[in-house]
Amino acid sequence: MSLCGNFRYLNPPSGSGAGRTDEWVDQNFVHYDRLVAQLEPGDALMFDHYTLHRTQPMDSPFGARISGEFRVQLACSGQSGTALASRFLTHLRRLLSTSLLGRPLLSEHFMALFNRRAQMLEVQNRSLITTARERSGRIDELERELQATRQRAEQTDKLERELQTARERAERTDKLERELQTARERAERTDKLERELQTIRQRLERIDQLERELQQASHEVERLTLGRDFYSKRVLELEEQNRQLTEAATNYSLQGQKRERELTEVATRYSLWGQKLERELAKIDPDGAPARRFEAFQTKGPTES
Amino acid sequence: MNPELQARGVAIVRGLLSGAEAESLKGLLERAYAAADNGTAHVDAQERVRAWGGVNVHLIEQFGIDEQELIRFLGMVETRATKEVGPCKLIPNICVFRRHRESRTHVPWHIDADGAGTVSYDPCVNIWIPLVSVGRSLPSLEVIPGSHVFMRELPLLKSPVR
Repeated sequence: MSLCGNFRYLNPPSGSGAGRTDEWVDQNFVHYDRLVAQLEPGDALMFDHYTLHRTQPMDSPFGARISGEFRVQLACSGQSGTALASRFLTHLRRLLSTSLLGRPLLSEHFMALFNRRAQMLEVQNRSLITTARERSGRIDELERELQATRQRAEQTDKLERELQTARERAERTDKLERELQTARERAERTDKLERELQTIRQRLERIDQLERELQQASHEVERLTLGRDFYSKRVLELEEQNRQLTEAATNYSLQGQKRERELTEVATRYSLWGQKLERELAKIDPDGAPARRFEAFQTKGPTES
Repeated sequence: MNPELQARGVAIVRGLLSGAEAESLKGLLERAYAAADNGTAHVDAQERVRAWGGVNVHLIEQFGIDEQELIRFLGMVETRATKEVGPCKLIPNICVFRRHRESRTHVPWHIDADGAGTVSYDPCVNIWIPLVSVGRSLPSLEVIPGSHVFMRELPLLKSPVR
């Protein structure tokens, strides 16, 4: 089911000329019952579209009444011949009972007085007038529908143009969004590259610093190497001097040992000689032995003889 | 065909929509009327609501309501009406919702063939479904059973705007 269709307003009969006055209804439906439906939400009141109805009059209604009017067309859109004949006879009876003297009881008398053919023609004439009025009304209605359809078509054209514009704007928006997305991605990539560049710069600075430290270390090594060489050379020189000193000392020691041995030999010989002399003196001068002892000699010193 | 409807031109059918379905439909319409009241609905729709409290079914999208939401209810009504009136077709163009909040919008005696432009859909039946309790504190419809036979014999009143 689609809701698309002819554009038509359904205005209420109030003030539109399609309503009937209370007096008219009272006059024409004296013996008819009236029904006010008491309904709960979802209940339905179904009625023929020729059934008279109105909004229930109320002294002081409160709240809002919301209702739906769903209209269905019955499948038997064409009426049967019997129904049409029945409608024609009803119409004819109404004409005969109300149109002549307005007194139903006299109609049969008039029927007898007038030519049957003339009456039928009159009835047909009135039916034709009624039909013509209905068709005129239908033509008016169709013209209004046509006008509404034209307006609708113009509105559709306008909406189509607006839709086209909107589509173009939507496409433009999509394109811009894609470009924006690309730009965002580039910006993110740029940020990432900048961060990487910053990292690389920091590394380069660190490398420079290390190179400077390395250079300083090289200089220090060079300085230390020179110092080491100097001191190595000095050590060698000192070792040579030490060796020479050692050698000289050794020589002196050997020479000292030699002189000591020679001195010892000489001392030994003099001692032996002295002992010999003492023994000979003891023989010659036994009393003078204490004075000739070495200790006495050490205390008095050598005596002049 | 419902015998009452056939004989007297009017019949009451209880529970054509369930309470929950009626409540759901009422909620949808309250959204539509809220859009008209707060000015977010289409200008024409706002004007119609101000003038006679009406929401034309086939123009429901002017109120910002997806018509698919409403079509579900239309199909429901059409299907269930078939049990009462036989094969029929719901005509959205002549279906409306109304909200009466003041007597100004109350409708005097009329027939739909005059007032609602249904004559070209003859034979046509109006299925009037209130979404609130009516007949006691809120106005229902007053109908004259059997009047359709007589009214069919009268020429239609000419309505300036139908």
